[in-house]
Amino acid sequence: MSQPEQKKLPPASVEFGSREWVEEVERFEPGAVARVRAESARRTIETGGRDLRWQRCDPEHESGAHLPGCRKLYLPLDAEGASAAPHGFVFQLVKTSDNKLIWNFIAFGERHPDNPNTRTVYERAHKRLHGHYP
Amino acid sequence: MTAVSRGSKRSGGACFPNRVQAQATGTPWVALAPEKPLSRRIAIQPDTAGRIEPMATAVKKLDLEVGELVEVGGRRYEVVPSREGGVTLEPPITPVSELYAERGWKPASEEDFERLTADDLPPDGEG
Repeated sequence: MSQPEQKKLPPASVEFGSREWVEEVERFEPGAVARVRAESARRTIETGGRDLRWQRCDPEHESGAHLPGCRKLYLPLDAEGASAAPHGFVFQLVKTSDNKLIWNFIAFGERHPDNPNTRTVYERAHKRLHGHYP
Repeated sequence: MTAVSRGSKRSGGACFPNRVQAQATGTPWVALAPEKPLSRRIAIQPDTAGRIEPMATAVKKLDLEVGELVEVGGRRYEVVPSREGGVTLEPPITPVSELYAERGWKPASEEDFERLTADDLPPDGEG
């Protein structure tokens, strides 16, 4: 018996909550490379000025980071290849009180930090989802 | 956890990265006292040259557990496990359970997620 084809949903908008933004992006000083990069990417996303290379997050990564229901973008958005994009945004699909689906911004940070004490963007996303680091 | 204070001559705490290092790497930076220019910290007046007074050291011990919040210099930090098995202070990350409860939101269903990400690139094994 064939499965009924799932109906595709219209795209959900992207939301940058003020508290998430402060905790993730404004922890960097104004003018810091990471912050400028995040601010620029946000402007691009909000103005819809570019096709975005959305990528699903691993729901259960071997590092212990569990990010079900999440997708990500690598920054800078116009980087040629993932290796040229050292930072990332992570978003979670959320249903609002009026039953609207949105992609809520939950984490920003380095993908592969040189400093071993720096949390990766995936660890930060896991912390925000589960309340503790993986 | 132990916070070390060295009176007015201290440079900002040797056990934490300084502000520039922290901003460059995204690691937490704990300002226990305002940083001063290096030239001001090591200046020796002519009449005291050759005599360096010992700095008073006061150790304030904090009995903190993972998950607790502390406020230092008007900024909040959360006690979290360090990678070395101890604890460290980091700017807090408010969990979505708290944020969504305030906003009346909830995580979407897996079915909705599958429908909305059908055209996404698959996971790349990174996280």
